[in-house]
Amino acid sequence: MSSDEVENIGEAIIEDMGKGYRFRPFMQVVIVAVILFITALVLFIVPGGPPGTLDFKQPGDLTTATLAFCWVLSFLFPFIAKTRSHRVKQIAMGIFFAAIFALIGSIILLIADQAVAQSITIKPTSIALLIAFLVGVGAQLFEHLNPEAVKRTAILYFAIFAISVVFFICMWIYLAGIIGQWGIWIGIVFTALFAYALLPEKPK
Amino acid sequence: MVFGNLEWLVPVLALIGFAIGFLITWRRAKVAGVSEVIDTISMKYLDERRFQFKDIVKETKLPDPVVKRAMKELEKSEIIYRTSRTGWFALNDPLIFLSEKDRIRASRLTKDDNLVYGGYQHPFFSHVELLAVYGIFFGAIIFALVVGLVQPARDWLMVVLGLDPLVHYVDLTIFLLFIVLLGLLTTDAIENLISIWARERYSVVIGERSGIAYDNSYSDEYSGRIGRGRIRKVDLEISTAQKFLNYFMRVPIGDIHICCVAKEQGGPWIDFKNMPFPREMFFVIRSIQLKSLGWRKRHARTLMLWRARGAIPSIGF
Repeated sequence: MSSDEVENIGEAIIEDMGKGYRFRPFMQVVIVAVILFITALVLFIVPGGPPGTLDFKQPGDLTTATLAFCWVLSFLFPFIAKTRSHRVKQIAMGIFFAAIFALIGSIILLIADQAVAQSITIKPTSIALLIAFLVGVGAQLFEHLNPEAVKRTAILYFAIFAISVVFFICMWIYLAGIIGQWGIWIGIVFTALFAYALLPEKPK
Repeated sequence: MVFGNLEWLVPVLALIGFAIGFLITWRRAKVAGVSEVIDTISMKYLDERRFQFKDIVKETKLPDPVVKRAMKELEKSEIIYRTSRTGWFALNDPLIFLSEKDRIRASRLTKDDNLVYGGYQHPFFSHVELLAVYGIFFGAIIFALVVGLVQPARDWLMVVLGLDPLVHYVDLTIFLLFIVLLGLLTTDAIENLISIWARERYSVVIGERSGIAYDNSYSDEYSGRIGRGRIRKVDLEISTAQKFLNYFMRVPIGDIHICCVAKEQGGPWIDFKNMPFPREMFFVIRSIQLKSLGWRKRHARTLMLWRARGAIPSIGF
């Protein structure tokens, strides 16, 4: 390895040392392609048989298809793409942001849709649950994509506290609508689970 | 309907998000002098030999600020560590996957031997943990798919949640997404608990002169010992399940079997289950068995960099 190659510590070396255990890059690309194909197939079959949501005729079809592709890819890409190059990390982060942006866009559209519609088709508490989902799954995915960034520092504790508060408020709103006063207690339990899951627990 | 008219915004936002994510990670962290400092340390200060800032400046002949920045970067990446407050550093051995506390314990119990490998074996990983922990997550996904796609199950859940089947279909979908999230959170939380459980227990360390020391039980203090002279055979085994998991896990795992001849003849085989980076452990054991750390020295520079991102000393996805 020449001196110039050691510009990003760790990445090149992990690729080399881990090579014997991982799929070859071409195989990783093939697996990602197969996953995309299966996602398309599922969207084509359900709901209601072909062409499913892929004819984009019904309101919501395009949103469903976009969300499905983005989230399936964002979750599975880091498991499959084990080539530790900077470009792979860029793609993973790109997919992560795409999934987050698509979900934020969908939530905004849902809220706008309810505001202008004659009849309410989605409970406001479900919007809160969707925001809890966005916060929860976004934080989990970020931790999964950037394990090196998640270390027990004051900034991390503050960040986890801040998003836990948002998560708790959304959970409380939703659960209070279903189970009344017990909602706050169940919400606390779920929030504690959420915060603990985010804390890195590694022998360091 | 807003959805009918403005739905194209969702894929457009996804594309914008992709571009933002791609671009914010564009810049690489380039620190000048890192390579030269690494070369020097791996050539001259291997095996717990301590060094100071001025030693590196002298060897590399680089300006002080460059070496300072490079060493700071290496310290941040946990490649080197401070041995004292008076400016002494040492190479953080790249194949030691132990916590700080365990590394000190191992060093103490092996009488300050040069530790060349250290990790935690996970005897239950591919069995109980995999089924119980990841089963929760996959169970949540299966539940969500069944309820989402099978009409009677969907109707039942809508009744339970007090939703109108004709109106609140999206509410049910959001609830199912939340079930998947709960499965994910539970899995991650239990994985954290298992990490605590496995940490500081079932440690295996390999010293240059002391041989292999390992924990026999959860409250053990390296009572298991295999002197390097007792090692007769070493086998590396990566089962089909482990091979499959290694394609997707952060840290690859495998089993190491060691045949050691006891004082009375016919020593038993000792198994170390699910060790991190098993091939490298195998090489290390062969090295100490042959009383030669040549392999490790040859690859010192490569191994040294290993400590950085990606070489997370915990087993999981």
